[in-house]
Amino acid sequence: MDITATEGSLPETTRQQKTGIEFSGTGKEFFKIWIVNIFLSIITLGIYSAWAKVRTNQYFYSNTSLLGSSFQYLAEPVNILKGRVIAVVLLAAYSIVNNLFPKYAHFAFILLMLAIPGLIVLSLSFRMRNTAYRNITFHFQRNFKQAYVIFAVPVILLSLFIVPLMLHDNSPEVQAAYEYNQMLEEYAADDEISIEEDIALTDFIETHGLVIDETGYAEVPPPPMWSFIPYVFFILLFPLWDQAFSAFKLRHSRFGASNFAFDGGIWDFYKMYLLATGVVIGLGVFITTVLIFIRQTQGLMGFNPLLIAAGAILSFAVYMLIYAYFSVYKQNLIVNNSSIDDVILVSDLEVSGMWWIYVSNTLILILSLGLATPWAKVRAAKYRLEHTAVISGSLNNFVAKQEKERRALGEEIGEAFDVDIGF
Amino acid sequence: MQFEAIYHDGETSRSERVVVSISDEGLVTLIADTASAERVVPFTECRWQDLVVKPRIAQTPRWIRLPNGAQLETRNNDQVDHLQSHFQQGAFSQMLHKLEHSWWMILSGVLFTVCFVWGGVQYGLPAAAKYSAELIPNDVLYPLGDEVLVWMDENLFGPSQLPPERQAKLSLSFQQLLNDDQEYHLLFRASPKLGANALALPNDHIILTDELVRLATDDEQILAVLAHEVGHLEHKHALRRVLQQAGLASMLMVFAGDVSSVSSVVAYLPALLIELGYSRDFEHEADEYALQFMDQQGMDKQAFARMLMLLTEQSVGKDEENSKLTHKSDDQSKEYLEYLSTHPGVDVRIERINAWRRESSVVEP
Repeated sequence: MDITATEGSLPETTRQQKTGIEFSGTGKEFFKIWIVNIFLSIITLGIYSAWAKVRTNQYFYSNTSLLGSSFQYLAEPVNILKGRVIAVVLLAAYSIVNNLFPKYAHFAFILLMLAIPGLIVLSLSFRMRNTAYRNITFHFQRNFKQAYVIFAVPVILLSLFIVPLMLHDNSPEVQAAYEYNQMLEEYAADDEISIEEDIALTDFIETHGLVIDETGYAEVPPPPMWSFIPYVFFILLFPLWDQAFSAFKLRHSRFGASNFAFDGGIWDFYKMYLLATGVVIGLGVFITTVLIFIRQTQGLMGFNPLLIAAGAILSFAVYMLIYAYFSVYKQNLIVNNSSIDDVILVSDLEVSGMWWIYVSNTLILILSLGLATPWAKVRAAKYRLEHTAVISGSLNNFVAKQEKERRALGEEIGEAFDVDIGF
Repeated sequence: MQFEAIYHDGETSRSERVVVSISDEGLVTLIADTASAERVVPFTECRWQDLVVKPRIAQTPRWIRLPNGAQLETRNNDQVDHLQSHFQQGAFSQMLHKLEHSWWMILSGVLFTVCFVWGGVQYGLPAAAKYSAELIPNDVLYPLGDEVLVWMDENLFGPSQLPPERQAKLSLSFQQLLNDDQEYHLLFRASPKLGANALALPNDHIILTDELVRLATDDEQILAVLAHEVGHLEHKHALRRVLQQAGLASMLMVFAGDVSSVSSVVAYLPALLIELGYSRDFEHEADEYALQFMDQQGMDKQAFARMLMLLTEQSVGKDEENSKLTHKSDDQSKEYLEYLSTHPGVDVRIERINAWRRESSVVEP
């Protein structure tokens, strides 16, 4: 940016014009910050990690510029440190309960699940409040009620699915079948079933009314078909839920006094998941064909290490492809349907580009034993940000808003858990 | 001294280019570039000492907060640094930038980090866990072990089907093996879910499954397994595992932070491999204890090796029933698989048993 060349206010056009976000961070520069962060975090026994987080975020925010002005990360390290201390204590408690009191593990798990919507709201609020552009901060309206309503639907559907399954598994008929099969295995362990044992088995079949299949084992009654209905609904409604949650995040966000608008429709989200399902099925067919082909040319020689390695690499590449597909499609979908006042946001990420970033990043991370993390992060951020733009006449018309809502006590804890919100 | 900056008033997103001018006494004045800008920049003057200057990070734009809530954004980092060292004593933030700029610091940082991670995972965490496990008294652990037992009885175990005489005989031989200061209890349970297995709980109870008793061809083999479990108890492995897991998790938090640039698999794979490694170390330690123990009691250490063989044969048999695909697994792939299991390979364990015998036979001919 050449400051001296232009006069007066920042670049501005009168007609609607597309302007891309620029990211000027480099891996080399960030590496120095990253390694010092780690070094100081270690010798301060983790205390410095809060400062490290702030410096890292400041590096990425400040290197992101739009129309000649950069973004700003405002969080105070001390606040982040407080949140982390509480989070570590909570996680340690959870880990202890999990390991030493397995009886209460599911109770702790339910508590954790119950906390998640609240933590997401707090973490969004923290992140937005601490982001500024041109000295105007972003803001997230903490609507806990709506967050819990949105999360209630999938949680209720999943419970309606899991609870009947568990009840079915513990029903006397199923337990009897299990018990019979165990008896059979124990009796057959010495290769022959004595007469007494045979009588015991026959008695057991009669008293419990078991059905024996051709292998000699008792048939375990399958769960009733209706118990899968909530699960089917869960799958069918997931895109709807995703849309509701994305809209929730955007519509509760503000820049200064201006609200973000989101007009991504339900159908857009269904399209994304339908396409993904198509891609997964297509790839599945492709891989199966390749495997059958290899099998036939190589004969039924069992598995050789080369084939296993090839399979592992292929499945990694495919996994990354699906991962890239989702992250690209979703970011494009969300950003392209977002606007704020008369400013329209645009994102044109491509699956192939993102896929290559993920694959190459993973490879350089493995080959460098993690030391290339800064390059990986900078590359991913640069790709994402530089494919994002705004279409606008001017960014000069936003006004700040005096915030009435005070900082929430738990925001730092939300930040510490940093539930991924993919914003 | 002068430098260029962008003035953001904090009221609107309208920003103006200004020239910041600082006198020798530290008096700051802003000069708007154009006449139209003067309306937007109402600021008159203040002293440099009254400004809040954000720490420098590499070459990124620097933010300076003015007393009226407005902010200046400038890329003239060097000039700001110069003014800072002249008028303010913000040593800490300046020191950070200097550290991040020195190649000497970067190099020693890399060296230190690599050594620390390797040493911490290999020696530090296990040693720290071992030390802290000694500090935690047994009566804290007992109720936890009781809880685990109740849970397991509900979910994994049924009452033992072994004849009482058999149970009594095994219990007696077990008690005879223990030293006077060792107070461990043996429990019998049937567990088709777990199969042939023995477990040591933190409340000093050892559970032996009927399936294992039936699998063994003589009692010495069962006692060898019990000695191995006593090893787990003597070394407090259950507690140490929890402590090491917690330590590893917090280490990962410091390093990985958020590795969102790639999928989280990259972060969790090493953690999993390390935890499996710890688990194998515990098994080796318990094996070692069992061998020493058996040696003291004058038992045949080959009984332990035979028991291990029986257990493997049984589980291999089960696997083969499940899938006919794996039956051609060659030695090489077994070696790789070692990194993916909780227990060391049986070959390795039996080799150690043999090696142990050779060693001790040198000592006592």
